[in-house]
Amino acid sequence: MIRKTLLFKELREMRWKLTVGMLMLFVTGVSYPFMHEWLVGYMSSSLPVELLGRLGLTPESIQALNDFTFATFGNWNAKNLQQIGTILAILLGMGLLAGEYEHDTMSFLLSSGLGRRTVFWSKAVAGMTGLAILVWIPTLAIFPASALAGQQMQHYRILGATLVTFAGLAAFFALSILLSAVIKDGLKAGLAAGGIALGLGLLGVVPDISDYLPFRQMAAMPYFLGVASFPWLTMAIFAALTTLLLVLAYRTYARDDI
Amino acid sequence: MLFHVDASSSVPIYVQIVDQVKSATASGLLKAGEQLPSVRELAVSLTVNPNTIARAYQELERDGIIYTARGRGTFIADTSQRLTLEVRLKTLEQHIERLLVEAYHLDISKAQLLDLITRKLTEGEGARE
Amino acid sequence: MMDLAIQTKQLSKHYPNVEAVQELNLQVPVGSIFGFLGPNGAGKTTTIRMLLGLTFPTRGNATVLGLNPWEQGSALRQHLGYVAENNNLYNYMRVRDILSFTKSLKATWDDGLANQMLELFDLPQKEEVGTLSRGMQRQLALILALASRPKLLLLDEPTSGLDPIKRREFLNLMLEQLVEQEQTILLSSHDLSEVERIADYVALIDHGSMLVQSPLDDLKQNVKQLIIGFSGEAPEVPKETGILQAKRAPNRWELIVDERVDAASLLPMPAVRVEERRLSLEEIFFAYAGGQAR
Repeated sequence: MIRKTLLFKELREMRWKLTVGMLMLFVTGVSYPFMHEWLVGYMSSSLPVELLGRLGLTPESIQALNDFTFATFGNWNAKNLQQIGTILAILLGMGLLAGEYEHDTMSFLLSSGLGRRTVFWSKAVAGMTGLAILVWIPTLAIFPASALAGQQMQHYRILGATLVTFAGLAAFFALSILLSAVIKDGLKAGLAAGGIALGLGLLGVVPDISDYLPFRQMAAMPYFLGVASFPWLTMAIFAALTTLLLVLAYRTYARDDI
Repeated sequence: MLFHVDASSSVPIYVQIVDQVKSATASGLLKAGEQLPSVRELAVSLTVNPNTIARAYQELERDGIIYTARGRGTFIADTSQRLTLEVRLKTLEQHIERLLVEAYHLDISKAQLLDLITRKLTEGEGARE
Repeated sequence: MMDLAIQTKQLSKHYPNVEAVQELNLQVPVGSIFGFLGPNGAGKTTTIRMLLGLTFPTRGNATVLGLNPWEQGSALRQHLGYVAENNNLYNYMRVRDILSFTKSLKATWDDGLANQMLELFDLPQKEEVGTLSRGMQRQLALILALASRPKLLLLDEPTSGLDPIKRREFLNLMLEQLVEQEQTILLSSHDLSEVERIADYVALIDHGSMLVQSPLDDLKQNVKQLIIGFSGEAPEVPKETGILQAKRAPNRWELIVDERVDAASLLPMPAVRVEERRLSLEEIFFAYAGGQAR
């Protein structure tokens, strides 16, 4: 069902997105250990308490930021990987099918003797592979970067939290494919998926539901802090959602006139 | 190249080839025993469907203009090997039938028709002598 | 019974605003070169895409090489070669990359044949597809379609963009292949002269409907123009099946008829003159297209 040739073709077509995405994640994430000390020192000494208060920071939270492991988590899983990762997941998903429509190459691809099942699932796997590369290489690179910067990680729960973040990003990736299968226009599909993500993000200000929104769940903070066990249920829900969205996307594509 | 086809003509391509072989043999341009190109060769050199060439060869073979020797190719037939008188008369008969229909519609009487044929035959003999 | 490479029954495709294909009964014999003709927008491309399993029909069915194109599409497409009308390839790939890409997907790929054609068309292997001229891209698409020695070739306006010499070379190449391996070719075109030379079967469609489908030679032999002169005023032309086109002048009829019409039985009174004339394919098609009530 998955064709290697097709997998490589898709990864090759993704190479610019992968390169730029990797660059962004390295700049925002992997550079953090080198900036940690300066940032914490700057905030606790140079900024007036009044301004810190307006930013929502209390002396306690600045104290918490002193904890390098926690600060890294806050910068990575709760912020950059989540925000940039969502954008990248949508970018990867929106081009897979729509790119073939836009360049009018779908008929050539299928006439090369491929079935739609193979085309779709090879593309989906290629996209997931790209997403995995973008998530895991920078995440793993944080550890040697920390050592290089002379910082000490207290534990490795960042890896577990990243797994949950990855599962959530996969769902956004699947949403983006589905929308591009329906709309057949990569840019519009991407904007629609981005709009949904933004909407979910804005809903975070509503206190009653914010705990249940994907971004809060993706961060897996209770697990990271050690106050809860690994969120298997969240993982299962993200996986089920991803599967559902992909199957819907496949069925849309499989019935489409080309 | 002995043959040429005019694809946009109203005459079917296979008929054009049949006619060209017939007139080439009649004029002595193609001699008995001479080999014709294979169906494939001719199809490619004329850029014509091989089935069309095959049909022309079938027609010519049926009329006794050419013959096919298995494994060796297609050749111009010897006159003596050609059709029996009976078959040849039959072919001519079809042409005469058409002539009669035409004559009827044009309101030409039997006497006028016979007269015309006799005159044409005499003209033809005169030209040949 | 003739073996058919393609058989469709009542194949129809309706889009919201247009009935692109209507009740098409196509019969393409194995080993034939089938000219699928009609003006631009007649429904040729939609039909071909349905035969490939790319587009789904509104009604009707089709059997292509014994398979159902919509349920056994990938198995079918392994044995098909297709060149689309506005054929688009992956522009960023080099010529040799797209060759190896297609090769890896087609089980029956023939390197020797591919090289022979590359040489014929003189394509630069190191160039990116997007930098090639339109004509060269077309040649490349043909190579990609032909090199797997498909049992059935579906070519949508294949030689548009080729100069006359390359066009002739390309047609010859197809003919050679056809002779060697019982290949069937369906060739859509709006250019009759090209199809007239190499096709042995033709179909004409317009506005999505089949106007005529026949062996080409039969069509040329059976369809003819009759000019019938009368001594007095010409009577009304009787309504008979087989009269494709009828014009009545004060003292004569100008008819285009097919084999079902017998001039003698048609005439209500003796005519003074009956002239019979054969027609070119173009004239024949014009008669079919013009005679169709819309």
